[in-house]
Amino acid sequence: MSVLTRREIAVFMTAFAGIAVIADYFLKVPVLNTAVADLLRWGVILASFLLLWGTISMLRVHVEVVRKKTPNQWHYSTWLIFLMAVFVAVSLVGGLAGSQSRWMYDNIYVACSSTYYSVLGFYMISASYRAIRARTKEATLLLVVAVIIMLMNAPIGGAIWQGIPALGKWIVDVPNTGASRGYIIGLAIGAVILGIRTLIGRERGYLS
Amino acid sequence: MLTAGRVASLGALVIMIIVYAWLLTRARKGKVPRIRKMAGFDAIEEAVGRATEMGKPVFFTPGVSGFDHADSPQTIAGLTVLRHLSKLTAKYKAPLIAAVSKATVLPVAEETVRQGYLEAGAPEAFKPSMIRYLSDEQFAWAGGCIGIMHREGVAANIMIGNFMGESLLLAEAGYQAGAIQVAGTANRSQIQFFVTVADYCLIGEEIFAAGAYLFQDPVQLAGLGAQDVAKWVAIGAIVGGIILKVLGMPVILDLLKM
Repeated sequence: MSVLTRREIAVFMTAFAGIAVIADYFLKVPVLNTAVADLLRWGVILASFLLLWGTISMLRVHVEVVRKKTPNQWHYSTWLIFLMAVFVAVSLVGGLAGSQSRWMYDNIYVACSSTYYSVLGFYMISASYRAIRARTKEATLLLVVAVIIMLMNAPIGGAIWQGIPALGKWIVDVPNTGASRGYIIGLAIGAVILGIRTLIGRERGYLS
Repeated sequence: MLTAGRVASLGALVIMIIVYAWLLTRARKGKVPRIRKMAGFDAIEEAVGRATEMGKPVFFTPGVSGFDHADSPQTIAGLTVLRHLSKLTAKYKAPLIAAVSKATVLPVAEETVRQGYLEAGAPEAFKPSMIRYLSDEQFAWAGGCIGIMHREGVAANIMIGNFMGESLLLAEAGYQAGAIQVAGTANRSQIQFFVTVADYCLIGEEIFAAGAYLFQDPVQLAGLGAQDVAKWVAIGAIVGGIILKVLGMPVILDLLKM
């Protein structure tokens, strides 16, 4: 099959599925609505199959790392393969909703995930420090606004000057909301145009 | 037959398609809209050059979303950048690592990179292991990306797509690894982290201009022209709506509620 034909099939399928879903959003036609609901279910099934592809791809990378004993990496890859095998074995024996796999998920993944998220607090401090050094006009503005908003949210702000909470609220409600709405409008228009380009097969970057 | 409350949206979509079709016709006659310089996209080549000189990998991720969500245009924009990036890494012989967080993105990313290497005339340099699926789970994927950045000492970190709570974790990891960073997202609540930490930043809708800017394709440039026309229409509707509302004639407001 030539590259050209493969591309045309991909464009056709994208256009067909995309136009059907858009039509479903705007039109109340029972036959269409049912067909699109089925189409979306197919999408979910397809995505589940792709998880298997993803797992094979991941194993391929890590088995290669272990086989080559890549310095500073192979022991992590070994650990990953071992844990993956344990999770799969426990889920196969007790079921995905089984208490053992649930326990492992809650006590290993959720705990690690929460730890990661909490690290964000420290990163925010170091990033803020770098960002709000008054090196340029923009950075100075950022610094001033950041200080006002911090004081607005802390009880000491109102104690220093009663106008700080009102000023902070005005910054959030007026310039911030105005800029955000402009951002959202530009974004939505950009996304719609990209969608149209994708549906007509002219967003070529990701298409072979 | 038309769903109530969505008629105005449908009208806006039809108008945008008509404007796009008109600009497309003009573009085919050679009248393409001009596009301003965007430092974020220009910096990608600089980042690849740096990685080549250092002999270290270029890291790329298209974000946390797949193709089944309202954020999928950001993933598509990210993959468009990946196509350009893979051509550059093939040209400069720099190692590339692209980490995806959704299994649905994996085959598309693989084909995108394969095609990039093919176009650069180095299909033999493409390896499927360049594209790594890490996990569908947000923080497992983020942890994997951070691990890769630190272990493999990446020289460049390019992140274009939808990023959520992990955006700062990834950007700080890139900073700690000493990588030159180009980051872009349309996620309003995360963009400030990229602006703060990344060396070059693409803000909001700028990421959707990737295809037009990087490939200078007249059809995609026409799309940017349509975006500009739509923005002027939106501004007109806002200003007109305010004036009419003040005059006691909320015509535009009623129209948008249709």
